[in-house]
Amino acid sequence: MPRPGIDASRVLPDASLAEYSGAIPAFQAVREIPQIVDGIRCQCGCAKLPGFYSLLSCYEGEAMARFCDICQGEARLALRLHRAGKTLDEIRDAIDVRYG
Amino acid sequence: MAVRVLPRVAIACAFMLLPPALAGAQIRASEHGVTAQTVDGTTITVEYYRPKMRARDSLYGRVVRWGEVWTPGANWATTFDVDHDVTMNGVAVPKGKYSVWIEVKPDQWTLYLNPKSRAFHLPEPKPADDWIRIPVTRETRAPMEVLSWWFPEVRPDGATLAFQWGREYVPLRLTVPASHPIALAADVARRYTGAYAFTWKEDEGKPEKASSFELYHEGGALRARWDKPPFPEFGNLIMVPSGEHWFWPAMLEKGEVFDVANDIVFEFAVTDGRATGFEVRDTKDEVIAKGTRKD
Repeated sequence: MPRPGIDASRVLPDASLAEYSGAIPAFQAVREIPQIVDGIRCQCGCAKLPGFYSLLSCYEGEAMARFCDICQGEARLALRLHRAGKTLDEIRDAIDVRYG
Repeated sequence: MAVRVLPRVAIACAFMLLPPALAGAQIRASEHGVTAQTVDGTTITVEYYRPKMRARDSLYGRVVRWGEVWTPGANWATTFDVDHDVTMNGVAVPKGKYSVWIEVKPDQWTLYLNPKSRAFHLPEPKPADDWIRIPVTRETRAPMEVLSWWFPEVRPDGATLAFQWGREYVPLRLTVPASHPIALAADVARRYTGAYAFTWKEDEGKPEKASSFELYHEGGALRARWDKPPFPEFGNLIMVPSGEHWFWPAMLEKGEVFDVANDIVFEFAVTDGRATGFEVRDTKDEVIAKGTRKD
């Protein structure tokens, strides 16, 4: 479940993504809906790493989403479905189908 | 006598002085082995100890007595672990971990899966009602020194698991559940069937570059014919349902699916029950191509 009060304050800013410009749209998506992204389990395998909580974790600190297509795709799909009016459960289901 | 005993004491003392890691290592007559295979999301794992023939010519009827309920391995019973329901030689096997036993008779071998997975090979067990009973056939082959389990065949819908020790080779045909069934009802498929103009992202605005992508329903599945595929294997596809108006393209060999390309997805836009077009998206959820209905 998303942590109460969670925000995108720890998500890497675009300024630190100069070498990963292709990942910027995904980081922007995460900054737009951190409370949704925090309720999604990443399917790339990083969920087993220490300190991982949710897909949001992939965009913080070492931010493996910089170079992981799956982390990026999950965030972009989450935003697209959120904008289409899908609920968190529906977004989770879609991501599990697509990347699980 | 003293001459024989003293070296043994000395050897024992020497082992006691070894670092723990080295002292823990042992040469075993039947070393531990493991083999595993994943098929369409189902993983099958066999763990066992591997006896050797060691110049024993007649394994069956002598080392393994006729009528014996024997684990095809040694020491702790061989285990069969599967994470989805499967069939073995046509017999249903629910997901789980089992110890493996074979009743060896001159004319007929019967394999048993015992839900109690942790078992020592002795005392010899008696098959119980909750054991799964699977008739097997065997073949005589060139001798194999070390008892081996392996997967000599992997199919889209399963695999053959086999073991051999000495001359006796025993294949077990496994079928796994389809992770994403390809079947699509005709009335559902009708939303999508028809001709589309397929355009790669880099060719947007260049209608002369568009190729023809035709969807039709046949054999209970939604299929595609593509006149200018990026690879020959994409010329004829089955579209595998993967979500609401989502499909993965599956490549065919001799009419059978051999690879589902689930790193790209076709997302159809449907209005009033009829698809007007589709987007093809990659792993990063970027649109790499589009299709527009022509008919």
